[in-house]
Amino acid sequence: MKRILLTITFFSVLLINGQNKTIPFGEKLVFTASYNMSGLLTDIAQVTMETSKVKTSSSTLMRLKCSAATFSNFDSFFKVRDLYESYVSPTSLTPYLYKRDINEGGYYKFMQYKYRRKTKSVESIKKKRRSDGTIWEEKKRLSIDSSTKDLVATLYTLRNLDIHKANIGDASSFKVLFDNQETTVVFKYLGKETISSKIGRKECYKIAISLRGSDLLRGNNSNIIWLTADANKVPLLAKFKIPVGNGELKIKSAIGLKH
Amino acid sequence: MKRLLIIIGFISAILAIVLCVTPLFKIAVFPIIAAFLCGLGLLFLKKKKNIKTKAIQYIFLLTIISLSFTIYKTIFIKAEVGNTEELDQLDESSEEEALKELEDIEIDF
Repeated sequence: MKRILLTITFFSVLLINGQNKTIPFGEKLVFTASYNMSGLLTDIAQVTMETSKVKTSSSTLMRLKCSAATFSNFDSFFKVRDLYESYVSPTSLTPYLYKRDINEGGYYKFMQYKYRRKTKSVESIKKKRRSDGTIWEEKKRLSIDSSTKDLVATLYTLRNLDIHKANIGDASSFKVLFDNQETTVVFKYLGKETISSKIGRKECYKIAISLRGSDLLRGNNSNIIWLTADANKVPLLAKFKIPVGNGELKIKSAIGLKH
Repeated sequence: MKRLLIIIGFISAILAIVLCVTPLFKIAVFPIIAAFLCGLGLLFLKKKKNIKTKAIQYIFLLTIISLSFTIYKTIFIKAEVGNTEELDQLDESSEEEALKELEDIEIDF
């Protein structure tokens, strides 16, 4: 009897922890992306993160959409129009479909993952534009871990973590499927800091992001995200260091927050 | 020394002019500073030796033009997203297609 009670308690804790307490339908976060050129930050693009309700014949899902568009003065130099989508369970943020459509300075790529949770696999479709303008397609079936998510769902999952319970130096890792490869992303809690932003001066959780076995994100504790230390955990600021330089994402507006 | 300062001054001033009309106008600050320092150096040399003032005038003129452009763009030009019609259309069509794809996926939560 004691064992049964303990098991029930353990699974209910897991369920509570895994439940979405932060992300509502209709939330819209707008960011300004800046690139660091010789120490001077230049605003280059606008990044939008939106959530909405999507109904299928059998269920209601949450659509997590991230889009990026360069500012008009950069369009003639390097036009970016990116769209990332993840269709997730509104309660657990488990993804079922992921789509990535990127158009960056003439370079086009499309990725789609259809998650088959029961068989722990993903049906992947990759499309790329050849130099002659034609599109080639590649279909694959990949085996994944039961907890593997895509990039967009992982970003939202980070906001759903119980960071208030974490101690400085605590880290949690997530498996992320990106470009048909499973990578481990590690989030390390570095403490609290107060950040001034367009939505006010707020106390934030400072979290370092690193990738295991990939050099996409460079430096030790160089890629940092600041999430508001409240129930919404809104990303206020993110600093990143990638092979082509470093930059920042700053919040411009936040509407439709849950709390 | 004089010739070197004139060459560096001119190159920096022209680079500043080119950069200040591009979206990367903020980094025009560096060649502006370099051109200005070369101009000052030439003015200092002019007091000691006899140097033609034309070169100094041109360097300062180009520096002032690029500095004015940079300041104007920093203050008055606001960063705005360009035409996103294509992206909006893609967004709509992608959601419609996703709905069809989702019907094919077993969802259990």
